[in-house]
Amino acid sequence: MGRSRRAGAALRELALAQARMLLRDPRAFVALLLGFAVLLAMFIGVDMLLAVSFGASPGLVRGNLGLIALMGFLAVGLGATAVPLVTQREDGLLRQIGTTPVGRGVFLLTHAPARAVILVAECGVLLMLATPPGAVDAVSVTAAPLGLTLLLGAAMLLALGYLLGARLARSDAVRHLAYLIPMLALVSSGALLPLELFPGPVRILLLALPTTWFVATFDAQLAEADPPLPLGAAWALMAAATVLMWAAAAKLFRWHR
Amino acid sequence: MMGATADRVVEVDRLRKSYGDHEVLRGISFHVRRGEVFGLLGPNGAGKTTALETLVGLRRPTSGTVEVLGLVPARDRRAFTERVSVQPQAAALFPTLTVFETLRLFASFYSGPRDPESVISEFGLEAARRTRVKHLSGGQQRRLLLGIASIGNPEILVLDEPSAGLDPASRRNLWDVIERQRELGATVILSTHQMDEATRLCDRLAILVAGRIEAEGSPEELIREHSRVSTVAFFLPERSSSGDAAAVAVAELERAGITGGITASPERDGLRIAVETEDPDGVLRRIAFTPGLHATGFRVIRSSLEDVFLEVSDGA
Repeated sequence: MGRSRRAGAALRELALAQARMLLRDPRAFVALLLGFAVLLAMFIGVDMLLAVSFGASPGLVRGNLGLIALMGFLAVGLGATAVPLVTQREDGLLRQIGTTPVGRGVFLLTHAPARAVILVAECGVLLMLATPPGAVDAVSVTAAPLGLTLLLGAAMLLALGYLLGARLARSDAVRHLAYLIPMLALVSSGALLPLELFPGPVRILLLALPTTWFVATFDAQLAEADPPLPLGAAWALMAAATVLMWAAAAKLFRWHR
Repeated sequence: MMGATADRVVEVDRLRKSYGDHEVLRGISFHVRRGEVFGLLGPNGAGKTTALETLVGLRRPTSGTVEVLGLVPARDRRAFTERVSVQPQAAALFPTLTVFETLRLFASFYSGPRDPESVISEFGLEAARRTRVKHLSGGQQRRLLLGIASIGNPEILVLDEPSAGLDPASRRNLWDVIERQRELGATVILSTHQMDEATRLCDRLAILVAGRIEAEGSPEELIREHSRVSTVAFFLPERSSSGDAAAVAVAELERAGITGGITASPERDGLRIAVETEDPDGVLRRIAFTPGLHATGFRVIRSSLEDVFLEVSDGA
């Protein structure tokens, strides 16, 4: 078998195996559901209840899309990426694969597609909710840049998951981080509390966080307000952070503890 | 001599490995010849796993050299992993994949893999073909791991405690599988702390104690070199079970020229005698030709690898 043909077969089989693992692992699925679908369903449900009470929708879903996106992307990046990777390292699965001709880059490359599909689907749902059908003008104006912000945010938070999963050795430690980081991100990114509430120096500090680049930019685009960073700069920063975290993850990745 | 050297597929020279201040391997050297089963025998914590992990490039030596098939494992990873398969001690598989999916996955990593179906039948996994890995028994999982180790058609198989945690029937089954790999021409390197496993499987072995190789050779050579003493046991019937009778019997044996470690244990209708000796044949002759002894129920208990292991471990 030629080397390139073999590499193709290894890529295909490993990507399939990684996808099967994700789809057949109930814990990963629960993490994904809690992070995105359940949260979304909760906001839709409350919005509908309030609409019945007050006669009109208060726009709760649209007003919290940034928060929902952040939690959904972090659930994929942490709960469905970093946690399984570290657990596989702890169990010895990565050690087993590390003794075969499969390289670190190939392994990570085949790990990502299943997660990317889920993230793209989440982006699609969020984009549909942000630019509802019928609002033709709004769609034509905002869908493309909004979609780009969502995709870059998703890629960046997936890369964060790979960076965390690259080296950690203990699954309990990464699970704690998977609970802690979304809470910190919620508070610090403007998803829950507007950044304007924080004192000036703190706000500047929070604006330096990648999660803030995403949420603040997305929320500003939704509200058709001025984003805290120019749109192009925010996209460039998110893209750079994604590339840097991916590169660091590939460099730091360890097969065993 | 040249031929013997050329036939070596593994050369380990003055290998040291430390974790911080703790030195796990203290300058070990050994070689493995093509086609043999070589065992690293040692108690828990002796450094067997570290030695094997360094041998296969999972860890880098602190000093010393490791060469396998002319390759440096930690450096020449791609070429090395094509030719050497490893079953690590703490190995796991994708739990939600089936046996067939797992074998097909690992087969895709190699340039000239075996057919997963043939591995399934060779390792007795037909009934578990569609079973997910997490539902396999311990013995089936070990056989699957061995199947994975063999699926790339490796020249060398490295197995870290392959039968750890298995019940006796599964262990024997696994030993049959390893012996079949040897018959097929594979070189096998394994670590174990089980004497019966080492005795049955290994052509040669090294006893590793506290990071040092304390003895090396075939099981027979090691027994011959390190433990010369055998025990000749027999029964003297119709003797009183009193302490005096035992002393009389011992004196009687000494008069017959049998000296050394003689113990006499009174039983219901006679005395059970055990003589520790380096010359069991001579002791048997003397007993047989001593008039009036009427000894019965002879047994010669030769030293085992376990005796050698204990002697070497105690002396280290």
